[in-house]
Amino acid sequence: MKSQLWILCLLSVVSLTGCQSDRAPSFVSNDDIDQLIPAARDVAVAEVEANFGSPSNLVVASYLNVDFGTYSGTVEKVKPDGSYRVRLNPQSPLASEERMAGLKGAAVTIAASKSAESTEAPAASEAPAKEGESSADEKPQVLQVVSFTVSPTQDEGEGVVGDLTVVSTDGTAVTVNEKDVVTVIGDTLQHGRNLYLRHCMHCHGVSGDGAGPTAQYFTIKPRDYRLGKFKFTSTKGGVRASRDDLYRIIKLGIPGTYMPSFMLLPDSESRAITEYIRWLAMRGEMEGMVATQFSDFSVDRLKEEDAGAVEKEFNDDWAANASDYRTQIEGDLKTGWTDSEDEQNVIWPLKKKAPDADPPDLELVPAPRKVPTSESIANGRRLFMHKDIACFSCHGETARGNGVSTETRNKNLLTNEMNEKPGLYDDWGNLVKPRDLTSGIFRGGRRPIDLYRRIHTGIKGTPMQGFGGKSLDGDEIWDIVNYVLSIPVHGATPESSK
Amino acid sequence: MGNKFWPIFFIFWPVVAIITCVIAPAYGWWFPTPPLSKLGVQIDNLFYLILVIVTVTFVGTHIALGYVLWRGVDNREKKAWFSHGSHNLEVLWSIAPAGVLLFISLYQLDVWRQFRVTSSFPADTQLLAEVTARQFEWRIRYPKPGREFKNSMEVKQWLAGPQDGDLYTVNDLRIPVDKNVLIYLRSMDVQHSFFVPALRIKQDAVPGTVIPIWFGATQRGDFDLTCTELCGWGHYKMRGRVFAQTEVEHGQYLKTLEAEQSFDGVTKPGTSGAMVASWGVSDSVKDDD
Repeated sequence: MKSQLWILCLLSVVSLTGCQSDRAPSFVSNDDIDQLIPAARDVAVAEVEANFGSPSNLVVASYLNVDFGTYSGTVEKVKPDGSYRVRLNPQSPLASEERMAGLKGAAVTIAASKSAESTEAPAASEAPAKEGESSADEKPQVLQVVSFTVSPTQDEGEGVVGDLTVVSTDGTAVTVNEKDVVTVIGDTLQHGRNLYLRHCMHCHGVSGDGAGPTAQYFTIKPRDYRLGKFKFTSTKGGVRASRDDLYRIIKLGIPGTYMPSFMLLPDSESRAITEYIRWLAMRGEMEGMVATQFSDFSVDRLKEEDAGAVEKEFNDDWAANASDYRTQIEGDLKTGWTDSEDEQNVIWPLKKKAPDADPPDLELVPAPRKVPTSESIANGRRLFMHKDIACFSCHGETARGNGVSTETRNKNLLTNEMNEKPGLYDDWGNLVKPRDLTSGIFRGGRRPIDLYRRIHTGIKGTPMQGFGGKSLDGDEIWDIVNYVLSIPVHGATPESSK
Repeated sequence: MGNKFWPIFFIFWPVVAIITCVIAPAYGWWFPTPPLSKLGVQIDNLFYLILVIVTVTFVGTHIALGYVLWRGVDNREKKAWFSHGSHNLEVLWSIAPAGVLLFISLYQLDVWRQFRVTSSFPADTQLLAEVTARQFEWRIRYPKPGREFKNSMEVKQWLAGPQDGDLYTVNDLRIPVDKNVLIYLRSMDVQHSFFVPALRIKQDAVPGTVIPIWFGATQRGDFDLTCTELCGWGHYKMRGRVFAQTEVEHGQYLKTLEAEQSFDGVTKPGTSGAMVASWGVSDSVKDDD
């Protein structure tokens, strides 16, 4: 009787407290970093952490093209109750009065206006500023927002006025004077992180490695962001996905996969998630870049060589080249994720102004969609079956996604070696099936422009290559688009082409 | 005086039930919204009828139980009367609930017919959309705006697969207010359930079947659409909405959707991809946390 009572007590205690106490999310390093010698691994992990921190301790590295939600304002009045009347200027496009009202817990700095005018130096949210960038100025004290109450009084002047109460994170005294500059740090990134952990993490993983707890049940794997590649983009080949591309996927989902639509999330939330996903992709890319830099120092070398010698070689290499490596990686990340936002890199339909001119006229003009006449559709079918375009080799003659490439051994896209098994593989190493075009499901969107971009640029990271520019002119791509859009309704073999 | 705990315990609950029922309306402990469809009023009335029946039964049986216990506590002399095996009593308590159930089943037939029997759907019901539930979202397909379906063959054909001019969206079903609309509900994977509490519509989506549902909203507004059949780990994600708009607004919405869906990057100047005009979800839509 007594033992039963004890078991009952124990069960209720366990059910109230849970078995595991530490459930704080953390980033996991990628496999390549795990393959490095311990000294190199430590440096690699420290480098990534210095630039990105951890999920509960985000670092704002301001060289990255991310809208961290960093905005500033001025202290207008120090109030007798210890709070400050502050005017914040929402510079971030994602900032709104509503979001600012919910600043509780965000990190801010308050500094005399003089030094704060040069706040280009990296700041940090919830954490000290990024290491290795010691500025001559004293680092501003990072404070935590206890509350920010937006004041209802409507007076002239830009920005949101409210009463700010802060506390220092290290227990030191906070001295604030009028005219001091307030900087809110990384508010959007934190918001994005919170939303990501709620909506996305269970498939895409805390680190964005596509290995969240539910991912194991899927035959179509969630995107691993760490290659910096996203399949369905509006940008040119080799250019990363734009904000709008990711936002669109979040909004509309990807039919035909397990990615659901988040249509009803408020706009600012979808945008904040977009920023966080871009940031996670950058983090993963940095890991990859660091691992590549250090690839000479893999654990395999320890089998034959003396560990101390290899470690010394690494340390010497790192001491000599650290700043070069950093500059290169930071530069690559910055330009890569800035190019993706460049309007110049977006694919718009173009065709040759004079296709038959002799000598060739290279001038291009906008190509509106051709009317889907039976001639256009028939020409699309002809191109689909053309030996140089060879859509059929993957999608099949009947467009069911059962072309001969799905049965043969192909070259690996990254290593250029033959795959061990037949079928088509993407850059993440997953077996992929060419789309069954008869199903009426178009993963990357069903607008004509979406399909145009798929055919023009391909699907990044997959064997679906782009045919725009060289092989196909704008009007020819439109013929194929018209044909592809007609397949689910009218079948793969149009009357006029029989 | 013996121990009166159990008699008090059993009388306490019907008292709580009655008090709760009486004060509930004042505190707003009721349906989140009044029924916003014509059929919803009748469905609510059925609900009230059943509520009255179970309340009377619950309160009555518990008061009787409490009374018997109360009497029995101090009764040490009289031997209890055992009703076990009494044929008459057993006939009585079999027939009485059966009669109540039969009454409910007959009484609700008319509402059931109106809601479920295809031939009894209101004559002016218009085909609005096909709603396909899947893990974990609602995929919506509207026929080409302005398309008239002449007969059931055409509808069957439309349901058989994509047709030219169809419009597609997800999680955001728009209906014209004060009209009776018809949707065809299907499921792509497992069982889901289409539930719009404000309109009192609940219908399972069963894989392999196409289920017609008609409804109509009597008020312009934005109503929650949830999945009410535990359909997998992401069940909670299946958040949608039914947005009842005026007929003009609805027409405009379909036009915008059509324009965006036929966007070719040239004909209309646009940005690199964000399709925003028809999404219409601004920050004013509150998240539910």
